[in-house]
Amino acid sequence: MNLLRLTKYLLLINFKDFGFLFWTIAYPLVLVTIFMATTANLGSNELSDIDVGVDSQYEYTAVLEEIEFINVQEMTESNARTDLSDEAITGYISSDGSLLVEGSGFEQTVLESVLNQVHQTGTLGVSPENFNYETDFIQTTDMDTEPQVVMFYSTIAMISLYTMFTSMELISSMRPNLSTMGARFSASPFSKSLYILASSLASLVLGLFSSGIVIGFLMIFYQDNLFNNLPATLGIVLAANFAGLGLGYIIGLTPKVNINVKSIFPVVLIVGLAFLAGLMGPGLRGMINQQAPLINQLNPLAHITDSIYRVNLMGNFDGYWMTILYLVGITLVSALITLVALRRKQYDNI
Amino acid sequence: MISVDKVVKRYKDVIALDHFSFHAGKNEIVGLLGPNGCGKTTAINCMLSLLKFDQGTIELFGQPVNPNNNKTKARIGIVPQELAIFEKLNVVENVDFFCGLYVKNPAKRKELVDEAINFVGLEKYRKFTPGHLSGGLKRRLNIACGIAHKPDILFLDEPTVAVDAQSRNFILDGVKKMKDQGTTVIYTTHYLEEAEDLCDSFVIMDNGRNIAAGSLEDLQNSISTTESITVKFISEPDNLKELLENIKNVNQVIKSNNTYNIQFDKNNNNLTNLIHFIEENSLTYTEIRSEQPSLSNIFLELTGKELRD
Repeated sequence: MNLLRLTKYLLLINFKDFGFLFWTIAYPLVLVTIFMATTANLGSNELSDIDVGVDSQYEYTAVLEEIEFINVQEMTESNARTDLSDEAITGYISSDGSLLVEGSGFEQTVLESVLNQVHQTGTLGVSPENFNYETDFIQTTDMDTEPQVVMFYSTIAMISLYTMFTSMELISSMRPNLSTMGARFSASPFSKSLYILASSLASLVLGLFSSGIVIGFLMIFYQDNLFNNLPATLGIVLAANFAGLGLGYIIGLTPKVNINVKSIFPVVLIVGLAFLAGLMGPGLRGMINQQAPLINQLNPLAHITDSIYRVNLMGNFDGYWMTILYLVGITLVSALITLVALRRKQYDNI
Repeated sequence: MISVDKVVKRYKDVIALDHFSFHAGKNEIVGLLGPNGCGKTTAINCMLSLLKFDQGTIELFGQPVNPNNNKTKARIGIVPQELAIFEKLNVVENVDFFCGLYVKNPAKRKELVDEAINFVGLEKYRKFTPGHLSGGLKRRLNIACGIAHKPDILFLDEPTVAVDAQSRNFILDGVKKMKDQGTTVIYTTHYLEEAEDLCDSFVIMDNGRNIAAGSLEDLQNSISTTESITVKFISEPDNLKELLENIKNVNQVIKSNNTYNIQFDKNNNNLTNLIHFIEENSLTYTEIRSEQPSLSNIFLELTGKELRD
């Protein structure tokens, strides 16, 4: 049997498996749909119509008036307090530049950021009129105020490691010490390396397929463009799929553990890593980053999530290549362990 | 075809094979018999070069077994006791998958796959996945996957466990046909009647040792219990039991109403002697039946236990 035919069969075995279809395609789609439904309001913040009261003595009133999404009204502090209570204005800027707000929220955050920039720019001696607050603000603050994108990116990162499941199953099925199917393989003259190659190919096709489905789904149905740099996103997804493949082989080769028990390992691993990487909201992620930064420094899912985030929303490649290198490293180490384990052809115990 | 000589296999302190030996020739069906844990599967795995063994030699086709010897592997078929088929592939795909491990040529493989499916009687179920097949049909599929490439040596490990009578007969007939086509079959089973009907020779294992081997006749000759003749008399004198006990080589007579079960020591002329006795004493009978010791009797005497213990 040639490589393509074997790969075809291995793909067929998975595609006909309800478990595979559910966990790798339906489940991620359901997950992102739920995220989209439950976080719809979080993502709808528009940078417009922020009503602000200013003291008549405030020196940068003219600058604020130039900013498209800020409506400036001169008023006294006492009037401002009334308007703030009535939610007629978002904030009040006193003559010394201090900001008075009631409550916290998106608009208050925006206003504070803009004021900070205006004052910093002024302090540096740069004419505030020459500064494009809108552009800078959008680049730095939208990310902070859209936690659901972290969840979407974490989901994609999680799916990218799903190759772990297929590679684990495929490698288990060819080892005589792990399955009766393995006895059939090992007793046959079939090339072990060809089987590994076909398994890897099939796992990668399946992994990329499920990642592609979810990315496509988000591109079509999500209101904003999450993938400003699709090639870079696909690059990291591909590297993550390879890493998942390698990790799956190592789990699959664990001796004397039933395949059903083994399946629990990647589930716990992936869900755990995704959780730490911000799948269930970026709050936990932030807390872990503060309390135990080493966890997410080692967490490949956190790196994948960060890299997808940066290349798509920040437009920079900070840490991108390091993440690719990290994933390639995981792949190479896993491949090495797998190859060493597979050199064995006879067993002491079956 | 197969030569196993004084093989020792240890699992730490447990000796799974203890100087185990046996030989099988071409076109022979060898029954590998023994209770659970006696070392049958270990012996097969050593012959398949899946397991390392500590001492002894195993040769297949005159060559020592070697996991790298693909030429030898290509001539071997294996049907494991547990089903080793893909649940998500249909009958044709399953057989094609496993046949593909041996046969690269697609046209040749298609021919072999069709032949194997017909051989096990699954032609009506070609597009069925195992989930839609009965236990017996799944077993047949398991066999088809192991024989499609037409091996010269076939290892069949308990192929009739948990199958219906129809499938069992189909499987046994198939094994006989394979033998007729030139295949050497190593057949392990718990069913001694089945083995007796099917196999040309037997290897009885216990505690990893080969405790007896040979044809049924060889085995019958190797034990003390031999022929047992049952006679149902019409007329019987009062002292018939004593008279029967005095016949040459009679070991024991068990009476039940007018039926006498007479057990003989080793002798070739027991039935003749008994008939002479009946004629001399002008006795009449309705039924006379001679039975050689069955494989169960042999097994019981050699191992001191029933096979299914």
